[in-house]
Amino acid sequence: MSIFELKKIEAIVGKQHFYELVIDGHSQYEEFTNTVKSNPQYYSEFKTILAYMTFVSDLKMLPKTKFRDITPSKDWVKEYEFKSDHLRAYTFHVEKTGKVVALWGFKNTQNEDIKKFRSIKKRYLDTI
Amino acid sequence: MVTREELLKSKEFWLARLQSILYEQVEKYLKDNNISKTEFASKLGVSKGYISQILNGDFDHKVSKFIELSLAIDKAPLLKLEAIDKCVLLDSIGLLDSIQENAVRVDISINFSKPVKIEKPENLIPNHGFKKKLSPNYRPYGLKQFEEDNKFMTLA
Repeated sequence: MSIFELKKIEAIVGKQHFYELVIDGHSQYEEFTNTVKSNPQYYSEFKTILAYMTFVSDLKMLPKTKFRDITPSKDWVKEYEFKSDHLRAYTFHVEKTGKVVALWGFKNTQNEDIKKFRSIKKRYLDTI
Repeated sequence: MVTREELLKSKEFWLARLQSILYEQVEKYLKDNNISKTEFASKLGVSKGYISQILNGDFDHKVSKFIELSLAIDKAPLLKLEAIDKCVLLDSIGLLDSIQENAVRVDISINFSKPVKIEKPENLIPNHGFKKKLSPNYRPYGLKQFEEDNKFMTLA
């Protein structure tokens, strides 16, 4: 069984907390940051998504093209997707905790990433 | 990792913020006035696609368009340029929005070059910085200079 750890995302400050999900000591957020850092376009979009997360943490409205609910019907744990032109970030909401950013990915791997995200979410929820 | 300060000092943060404010305001105006996107586009003399662009949070046009749009939703486009370090400071105490919202006015003046002293000069021997019982005839040497040096203590 994997060990999950919630680590507060320092760049996001607001009424609602945002956490990255560290699995067995591995931070996908950190890995993804290093991946996009070498590409100015991706890095710019990455910062834009962090800005969107800041607004959401402050309970501000965002267009559906930037932030949308992707919760499957009958699932009681809400899922959200943050979007930029090429990047995606998948989060779920944990009551009395905040939003957990479980996976970052690219637009062209969206379908596989959503499956992977839901699997991570399930494994995490099974541990609590 | 992106730090909070790096994010606040990035153009991406402020562009996304401006776009989300515009989106929120236009959306509210259309809802409050029961106006469709098509009617609003016609009022502004622009295409429906242009309005959709704003409502998708993608506004990135000329300043003149920003002004026209603001006026069309009965808002004055007040622009305030604030020192970025002050924004970072206000953000760290949760008051970044106070810059935007005129309801809360926050005036902070901080002089980082000198430490802030709060003792009254009369009770101190200048240049020593500790309290001492003074004789009634004691005349502090250099008091005027001390007061000059500590003018920054005055709160606005």
